[in-house]
Amino acid sequence: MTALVFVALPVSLIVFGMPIFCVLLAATTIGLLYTQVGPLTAIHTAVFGNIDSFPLLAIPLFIFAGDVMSRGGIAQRLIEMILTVIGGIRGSLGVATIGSAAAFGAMSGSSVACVAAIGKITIPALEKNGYGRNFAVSMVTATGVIDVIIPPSIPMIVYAVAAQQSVTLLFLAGIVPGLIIAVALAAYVMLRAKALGIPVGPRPKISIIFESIRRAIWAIFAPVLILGGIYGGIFTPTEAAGVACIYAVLVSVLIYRELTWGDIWRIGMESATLIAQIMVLVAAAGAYGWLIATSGFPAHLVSFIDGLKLEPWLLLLVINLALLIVGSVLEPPPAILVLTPLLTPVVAKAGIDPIHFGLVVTVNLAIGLFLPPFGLNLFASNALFKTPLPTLYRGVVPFLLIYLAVLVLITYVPAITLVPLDWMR
Amino acid sequence: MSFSATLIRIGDFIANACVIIATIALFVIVLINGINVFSRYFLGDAWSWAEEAMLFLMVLLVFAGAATVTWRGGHMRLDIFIERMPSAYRKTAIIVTGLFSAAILGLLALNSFQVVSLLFRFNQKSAALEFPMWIPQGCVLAGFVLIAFMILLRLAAYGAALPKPEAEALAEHMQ
Repeated sequence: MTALVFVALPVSLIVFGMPIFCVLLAATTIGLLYTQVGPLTAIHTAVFGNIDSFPLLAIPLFIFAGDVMSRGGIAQRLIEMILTVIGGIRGSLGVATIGSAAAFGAMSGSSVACVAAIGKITIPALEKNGYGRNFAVSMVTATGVIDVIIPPSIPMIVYAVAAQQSVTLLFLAGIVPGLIIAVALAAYVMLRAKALGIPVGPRPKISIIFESIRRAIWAIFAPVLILGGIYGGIFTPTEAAGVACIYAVLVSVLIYRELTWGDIWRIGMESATLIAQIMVLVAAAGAYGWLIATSGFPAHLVSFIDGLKLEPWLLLLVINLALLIVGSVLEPPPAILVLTPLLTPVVAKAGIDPIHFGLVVTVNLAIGLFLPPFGLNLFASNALFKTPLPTLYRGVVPFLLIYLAVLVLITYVPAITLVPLDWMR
Repeated sequence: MSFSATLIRIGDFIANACVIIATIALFVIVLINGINVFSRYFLGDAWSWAEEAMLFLMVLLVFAGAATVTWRGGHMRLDIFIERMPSAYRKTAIIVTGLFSAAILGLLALNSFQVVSLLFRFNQKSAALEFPMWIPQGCVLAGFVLIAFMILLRLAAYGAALPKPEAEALAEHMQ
């Protein structure tokens, strides 16, 4: 009966298209009435208490900063600079596309924003260079999710709050996996360029490289400010996000002059709705997580899984498969908020590091974003670039295999995520 | 003007007012954060109340913005199954889940009212800002009421029409 209330009820309400935050509030209300572990007024306290959290304040600020950077010329200059600098090697344009996605990821946390910003600039150039439109769109769709893995990442902040872990440590743990994915994708693109017979372009002149760097110098400083500030111990992630907002606004309005104060207001309005969309979910999930923890359901789940005598590697395999399926139908924040209170006690009992597990969760859910047939980025690319979905399904398969291979590596070699943490601890 | 057009005008008015409030809250958070970081590192002093103020503003931002998102049908949901349902089942599911959501939010609002009125009666204040706690906590109550109202208003104005698919809306937002 407990499993029916905590799992079957929310799942069936989600399937019927009810907004997920309402599902979580409904499941909490009914669960509370069923378990009688507290009064209904506790839901109000849990909802308020869950938003009243300083680390979570980084989410609205990173969303606003990312929105301003992607429209105010910062992202565009950074991408153009990378396109210029990475020249003279086979597949340089493809490699530059991946590099741009990684650099965009270091400024923003939205995967769809990354696909839109990178795709608008690189797809026409990739097509012109002989990569073919379908390959170009598939590549941008798949590389866009790197944004979720390379810090600052909104799903990582959500996981950190849900699992009561440090945002800074999670950000640090995400760097190496993000770079491994970028390098693996770049290697594949170079091989593909060779197979397609794409000629090696001329090596750009030093003067042109310097000119593109000069043009993008303010843009280059954005990720340096954000990540350098956090890892250098100057700012907390929340402070870094706030500083990034002010920096993005000042550079876009006063230096690049690509946005007016009116544009900033309009971007702020759009960011505010996106923030509300995510944060109301966080608030509702806080109440649901509180109920799950108070009811003792995770302890039952732990003893049930303990009874199965699964080896940690098998447990991680089962969790990976489940997360991939969930990630293909649910966006990372709700998936993390619903599953973290259930999974963290299970993996803790198996001796798996919570930061390492956070990366496993993030990478799985990132892959889910372009996992056919329901991955959100596939639909976004379909709407943005008018590429038919069946073409995209076929096109992303090689990229999917690369991500899955790296996922296996990250899952079973915890040192990839944990070694950089020793520098901070 | 038809009845549904009047309802749409009311919904648009409330949604626009809420998003303006949410945007102002966002900008004030950015400003407080920026000034606080600047004064800590360059003037060696920081506002002790800044964190509390930003968090209270975030509560306002979230619940005001959530009312707008509700009216625009933009809350995160899983629409792949419902989109494939036969029309009659889909309409029933939208109306039933809408009414159920509003009922749950109504019940939670009644319970929130108890908490907020208790805070008001005891005049509880926050630690650093010494701000009456019933105000930020009241934002949650107001949020529950407004979201429930917007769900019902949307059902009355648009019937069982499905909102725009999320991916399409996001792609439009980015373009």
